Amino acid sequence: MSDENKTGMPDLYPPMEEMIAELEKRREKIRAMGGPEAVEKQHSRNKLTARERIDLLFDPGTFTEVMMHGHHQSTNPMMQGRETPADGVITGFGEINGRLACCGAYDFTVMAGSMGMIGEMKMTRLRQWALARRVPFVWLLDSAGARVQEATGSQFAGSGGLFYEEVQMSGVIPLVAAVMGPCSAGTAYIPGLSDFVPMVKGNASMALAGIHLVRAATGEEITEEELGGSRVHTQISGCADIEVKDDRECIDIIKKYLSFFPLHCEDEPPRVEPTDAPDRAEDELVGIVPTNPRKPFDVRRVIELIADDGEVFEIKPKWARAIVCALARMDGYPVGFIASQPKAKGAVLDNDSSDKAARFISLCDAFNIPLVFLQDVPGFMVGKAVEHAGIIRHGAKFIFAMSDATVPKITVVLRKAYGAGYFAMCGREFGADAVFAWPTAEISVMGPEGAVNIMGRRMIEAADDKEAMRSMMLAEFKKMIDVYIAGGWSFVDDVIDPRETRSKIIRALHLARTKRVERPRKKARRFPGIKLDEDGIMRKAFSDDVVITCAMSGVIAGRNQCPAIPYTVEEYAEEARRAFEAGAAVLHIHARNDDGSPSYSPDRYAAIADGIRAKVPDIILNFSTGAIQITKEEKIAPVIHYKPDIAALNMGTMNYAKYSSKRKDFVFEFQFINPIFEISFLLTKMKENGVRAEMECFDSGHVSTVYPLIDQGLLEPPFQFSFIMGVVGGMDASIETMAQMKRLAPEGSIWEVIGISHEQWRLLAGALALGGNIRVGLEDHFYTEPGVMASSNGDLVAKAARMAGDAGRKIVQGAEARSALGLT
Amino acid sequence: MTDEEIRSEVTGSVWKIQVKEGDTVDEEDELLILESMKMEIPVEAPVDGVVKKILVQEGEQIATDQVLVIIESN
Repeated sequence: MSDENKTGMPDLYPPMEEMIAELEKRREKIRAMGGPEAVEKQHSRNKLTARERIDLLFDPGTFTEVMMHGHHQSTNPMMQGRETPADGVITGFGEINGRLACCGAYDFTVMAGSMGMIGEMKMTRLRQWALARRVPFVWLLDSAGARVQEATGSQFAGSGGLFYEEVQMSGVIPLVAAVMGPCSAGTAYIPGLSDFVPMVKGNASMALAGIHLVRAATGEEITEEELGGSRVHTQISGCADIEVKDDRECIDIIKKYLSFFPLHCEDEPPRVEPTDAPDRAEDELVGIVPTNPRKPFDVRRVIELIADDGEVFEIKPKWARAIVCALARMDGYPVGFIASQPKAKGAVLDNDSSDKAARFISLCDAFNIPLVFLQDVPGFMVGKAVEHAGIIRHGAKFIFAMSDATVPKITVVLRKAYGAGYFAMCGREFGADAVFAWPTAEISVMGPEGAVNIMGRRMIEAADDKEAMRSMMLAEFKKMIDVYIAGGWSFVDDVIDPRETRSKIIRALHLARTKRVERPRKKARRFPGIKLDEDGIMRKAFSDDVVITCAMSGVIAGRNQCPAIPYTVEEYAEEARRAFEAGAAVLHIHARNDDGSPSYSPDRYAAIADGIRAKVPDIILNFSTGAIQITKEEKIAPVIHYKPDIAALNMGTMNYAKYSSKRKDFVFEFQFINPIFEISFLLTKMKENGVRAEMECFDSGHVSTVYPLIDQGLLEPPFQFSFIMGVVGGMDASIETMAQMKRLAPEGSIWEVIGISHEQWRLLAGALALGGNIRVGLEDHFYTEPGVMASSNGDLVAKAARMAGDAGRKIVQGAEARSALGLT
Repeated sequence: MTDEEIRSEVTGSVWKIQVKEGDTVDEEDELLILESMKMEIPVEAPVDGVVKKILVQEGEQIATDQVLVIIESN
């Protein structure tokens, strides 16, 4: 109804055009940030504004800003009259080289980029988005820290959640924190907890306490640059990764870094079309490493000669230089190189190089990037200085991270591999997928000189010509550590010509690509500050929790066969209650009319579902879509209408039959038609409506069909499977086949077994033992034991629950069951 | 112009000195070679400059963080 303004009062309902003009005016003001003067000042410091930085980071036209209208809401007198466009932080998402990412950019032109309450609420929401959508998160930091004009006293006790959240994100999605201006006090933990930290020379600084606080606390006089400038953190402290000359270079390097990473930990790193032959052999490799193990060389050149197109992206190039950590590509696939650097400290491992390697390895492992180790390592540093500084503790981090990594690991021994250095750099016994050795390789508990000095000391002292004795013993020891001795024991997988290094690594990585590592379950990885516990899905796969589904009615059997089958809404609700009380967490619904005939009507489905929910509110609902002789639109209509938690999805076309060996004939046989275009259609609709697909697989090919659907982005984890076993035309009803089906499904999938007819019970026992969920109900089988028909679905669920309990599984319902199924 | 102190990153001994006082050096030029853990460990100039003072002799034992050379940077 349109209101006419008859009163002469201001118009409460102006026309839309006017309102749009108002919107545009507001937008324009917000986009102007802290105003022309502040922008000018920002530019005069050789800094771009937050909006200019975002424009450079994201592909043109792809950045979508959100929450731009946010501004401070503080009643603190110090905030009165202040305007804070976007509340000092620009938040949104867009595409970086065609791939999605979220970004929060602090705007120094608005109250020095200080973190206000509304700005942080925006950031919290954005972090949650990035984590839930599984896309990388980028911070562009240029902030004076907490906005003291808003924060008061003990409210501090309720702050800090951003760091907790960042830790939850770590290892799930890539985290980049670029320091492009000040980043002081607690804010410094944002880069501290993230994966990759570039710092802009001259403008960036970070420190737990700024210079004024330092002076007050300790009397130390120091400049910001000396305290926590880019040189300090990229060369001395190791807290940042790369020093860049200006904002533009900073943005470029973020883009380059992200190009090596998948969007999240369950995705594969992106391959680029290789432009470099996998078997390229470089003659320069022949002379690059001096055969005398005392002589230094630059291992970065070795990596350049091996990697695709000589392109190497070094992480922390100027800190702990005795080890080189670098991202590169091999045959188009991202890999992480960990290489001994004899040019720096003789490649002797110490505290900092151990920390550097450990952190890099766990980063690559978290994001499925294979590792290549190039060894020329004389061991860990010895002596009082390093022992007192805890070299055992730091070295343990390196050995821990390397052993813990489950990505493919290839080792090439270029020359020396002495002592624990050989272990840390992925020796054979540390899960190395292949160990190659150059002819110069010496794998030994220690070098010849050390060994002779210790083991031959008495013989040398007793000899007339001590030097001659020493030389002879050295020569003897050298023979003992010859590479062909290790080769003879098959402790190295091959001795190779240095020119073959590239092709051997590529081939070994090719074989290792399908690697699967199963480990004993741990509650948490005891490794400080680097990687998350196994993610939720992994945990569920090995969990004791079991979810029981009850398929109450089906549409084929009738009351004449089993009187307990529900037809009316009341009967459905009553059966649901019995099933739930006996332990069922999920109900699989086929709707029927009051006369027992099948119904595909959205209204009937809704009536039954509402009836059930009224009686058992905690139940999880799963609608069938499997029916013959109706269209795909009809199949999905009840799902779209009611949006149950889950809907069944049949994953392939097949013969569907029942055979009687007594009659020597088929009881029935028909074709169950589920073409891929229809599966895709149903899946798209389920995804649009936020309904989980329960993928019903009758044979192995049905399981394998998920991989192209995952590739197309139609399916996202967690994946939920049902294996229906024992249908003639599908897979047989054996535990061996069940194990095979589990293996075919993507790692960490949720799965249940549906057994048809009397084989049901032993299949359920198998599923319980293999870690699966189970389904029972009158749709599948009427009898609790031979000749004893169930009086309700409750009887069947009760037996299933008993079996689960006896098998040591814990029955979960309600919120616990939702968590076990990964439903949100 | 500032004086840059070049310190040893390791405990070991001085094997060879490659420059003399008054020499002009570029960044990454080798100044001397240390020996530690049976490895030759080159020490490079971190900046362009002139060798102002050499504080060690060949064969001398040195400790981590000991100043080896002072370079006056350009």
